Amino acid sequence: MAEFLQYTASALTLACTISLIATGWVLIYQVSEVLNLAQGSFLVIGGLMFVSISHDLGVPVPLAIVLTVALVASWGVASDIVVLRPARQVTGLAPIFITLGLAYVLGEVARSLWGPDPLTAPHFFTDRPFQIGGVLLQAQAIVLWSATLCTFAVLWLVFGRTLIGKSMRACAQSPRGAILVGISPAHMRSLAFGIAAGLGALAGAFLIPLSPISWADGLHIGLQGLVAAILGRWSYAGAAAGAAVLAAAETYTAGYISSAWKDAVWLALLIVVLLAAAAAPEIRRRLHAVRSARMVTA
Amino acid sequence: MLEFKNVVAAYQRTAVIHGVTLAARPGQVVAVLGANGAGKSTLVRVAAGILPAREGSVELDGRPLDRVRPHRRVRLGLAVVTEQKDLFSGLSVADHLELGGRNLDARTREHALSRVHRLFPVLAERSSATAGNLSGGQQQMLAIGRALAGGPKCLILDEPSLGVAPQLVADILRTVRSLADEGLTVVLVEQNARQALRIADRAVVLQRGRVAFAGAADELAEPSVLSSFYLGGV
Repeated sequence: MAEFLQYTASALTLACTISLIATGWVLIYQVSEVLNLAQGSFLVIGGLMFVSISHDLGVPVPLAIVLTVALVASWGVASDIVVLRPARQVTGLAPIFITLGLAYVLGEVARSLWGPDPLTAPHFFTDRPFQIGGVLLQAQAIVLWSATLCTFAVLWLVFGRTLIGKSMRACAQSPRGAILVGISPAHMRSLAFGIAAGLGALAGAFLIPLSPISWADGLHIGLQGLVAAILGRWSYAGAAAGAAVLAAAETYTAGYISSAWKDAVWLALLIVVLLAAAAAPEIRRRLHAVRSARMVTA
Repeated sequence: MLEFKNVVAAYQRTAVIHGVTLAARPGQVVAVLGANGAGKSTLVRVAAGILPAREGSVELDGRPLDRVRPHRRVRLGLAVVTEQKDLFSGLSVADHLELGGRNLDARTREHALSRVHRLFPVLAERSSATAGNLSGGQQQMLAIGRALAGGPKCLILDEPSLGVAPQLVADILRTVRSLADEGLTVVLVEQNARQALRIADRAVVLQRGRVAFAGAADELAEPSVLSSFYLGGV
């Protein structure tokens, strides 16, 4: 049981990280219909930039987090304005390849600035684990869980209560309707990129003390976020649930079977969900036909 | 005052509007009539900035709108209710009205909101309902209410009778008339000509993207005159 709980704690940490990335995916996709393959790169840049700001420059951790998030969010906004906005007229697969290119460029920028080796940072409080019911927990993990929870609470308030949040939701639901009330979809898309990049940076800053981050990690973690978003059918709550399922599948597979299988399992899960989604209308149609036939017979 | 001056508009290479000129003054309801495909909705899209005019211009109180970006036109006082209504299905009635008045200061916004609630009391009653859960008539009222919440000088309505029960259409059109009587400029694009003419001061009939008739609404009151335009006989 202790082993299971230990894996569950690890899965929760992974779920928090993936859910922040997945939320970025959902946000950008809902507002701009762009699949941003550079989403994971924001986590990498955020994590590495946090190390430079807090460790190399000696800036206190809370301020370093704020600076990291602000800088990476600005980077996200700039990516949209400079690269994606001019390409908005291009349809088809072009935007995906543009974001793929952006992911590689950001990866190379990270390698040039921070070197080829993974970096880590000191834990925010203590790196000495403590035990609860036979489960070893890191204070940093609890900080990450709490930060994720707080972030979702703030996002819920912003999207549900503020004019800017409602404007973004309006833009996601009907860009033309948004224009008719004076909202600029282009501004909302840039804002979505900024928030998504900020979420990635936040995940990176809280994760890097627990797990070293390398310049090459962007696409992998970004893809995990995408899969969580797909599992969650592109809703915010769904993406968080998708992240939890994915993290559990990966962690339990690594723990109970073999770490060599962990990626294969969550990718297989994606295939199953996509096939199920494709088959769902036909299944619903047949069930409806069976029900109708029974009613006629009765 | 809203003016279309020799507006030419096209979808890709196909011109749909060929040099349309019309004007709507404050306090007037101008009905834009015509059969399907006459170019009525295209004219609305040009005014909203969703489709740029290829030639000519649209002016609001003498100011050309051609270089004004679509979302900025609201701030100048132009409100458009499209045929599709373009509501935000997951947002509440209150959210729609809040977003409609987002460019106004608090006092003006409050004033505009109370006017919307006075005109359409059902929007106050159903303020927490999401747009997707409203009936067709209530959605139409919400679309008009959202446009009015921005305190516009000019209101363009595209087919407000579409998908709405006949009794409710009459109520909505009466409200539109009262808005014009309060000084609003109203352009009413309608396929249901008879109902539109009941509240209109002036009428413009479009045929294949050209103005086939422009004059007082009364002149079209005779059914045979009206039907001749719809049948393309004039």
